[in-house]
Formats: sequence, C-alpha cells, structure tokens
Amino acid sequence: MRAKIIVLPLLMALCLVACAGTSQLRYAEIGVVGTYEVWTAIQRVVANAKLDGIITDEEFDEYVALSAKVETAHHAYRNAVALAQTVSDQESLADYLMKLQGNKAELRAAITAAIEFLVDIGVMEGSIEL
Amino acid sequence: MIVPATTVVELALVALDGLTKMLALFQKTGEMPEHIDLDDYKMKSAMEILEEERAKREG
Repeated sequence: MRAKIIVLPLLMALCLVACAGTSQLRYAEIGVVGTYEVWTAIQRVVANAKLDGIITDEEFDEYVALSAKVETAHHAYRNAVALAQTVSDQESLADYLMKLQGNKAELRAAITAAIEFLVDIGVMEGSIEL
Repeated sequence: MIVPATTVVELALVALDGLTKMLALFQKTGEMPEHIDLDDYKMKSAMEILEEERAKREG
C-alpha cells in the first residue's frame, strides 16, 4: 500500500492562507490542525497496512515508537500555541511565537524520522514529482 | 521537480483541513473566529488508531 499525497491543492490552499493576511498565531493554529489531520491520516494508512499483513510486527512496533514521538511533539506544540492564544499584548505574543519555533522544529524532526522509516519499509513514497 | 515527502507534509502543516476548518467556521458565524479551539486536535496513539480501523472492518 502506498500513501500518495496530492500536492497541488495543498499549494493552492497555502496561497489562499497567505493572501488572506494570516497572522503568525493563526498560521501556528493551522499548523496544529493540519499536522493533526495529516498524521492521523498517515496513522490510518499504516494501521490498515498492519491489518492487511503488509508490514511485519517488528516494523509496526518500530513505527509505534516513532509515532509516539510525533504525538509527544505535537502535544507540546499544541500546548504552546494554546498558551500563545491567551496572550493579549503584542510584545509578549512575539516572544511566545519565537519560542514556538523550537516546538515546531521538534515536531518536524519527529515527523521526518517517522516518514523516513515509512519510506524505507515501502508504506509511503519518498518523493513526489510535480 | 522532485519534492521530498517531508516538504509535502510541511506544506500540509499550514493547509489542508486547518483551512477547511477555518472556512467552515467563517461560513457558520459570518466572521473569522479569533482563535481555533485546539482541544479538538489531541492526537491519538498509533494503537488507538489501529483499534479504530480494526473495529471499522468488523462493522
């Protein structure tokens, strides 16, 4: 089973967000939601690969460990954005948004590691040609 | 042009259902909400998802 992600609609959606003059906090909020939706979709792909016997128990165990890191990083990122939502003055908000970059980097690293593994075992494609 | 899968996922970070959710809220309320309620977006574990998918198959 291979998970194919359609790139063009995503790029169009990204342009729409940019054109709408989205604030950095809104951008971070969408990041939380988008990551949740995408990772949950990937989790469902892998779960079905497991149920279909396409991946081995050992591969699935490794994936579960990597997915747990994604879940932890997303939890931290989500909490950080939720905290930034409570800030009213612009100066403090800028500080919170700066700190968010660290959470985002951790989340990205966790997702990258998990996807690289899924590419290695053939559940996902490694690259997409536009 | 070759785009790494990780880049695609990063793009998806800022788009996809986040935008859909925003637009749905906009249509519902007639104005852009100040914040998105992030309590609705707590990730489930891989095992929870596996059990959900198994349950779907078993009807």
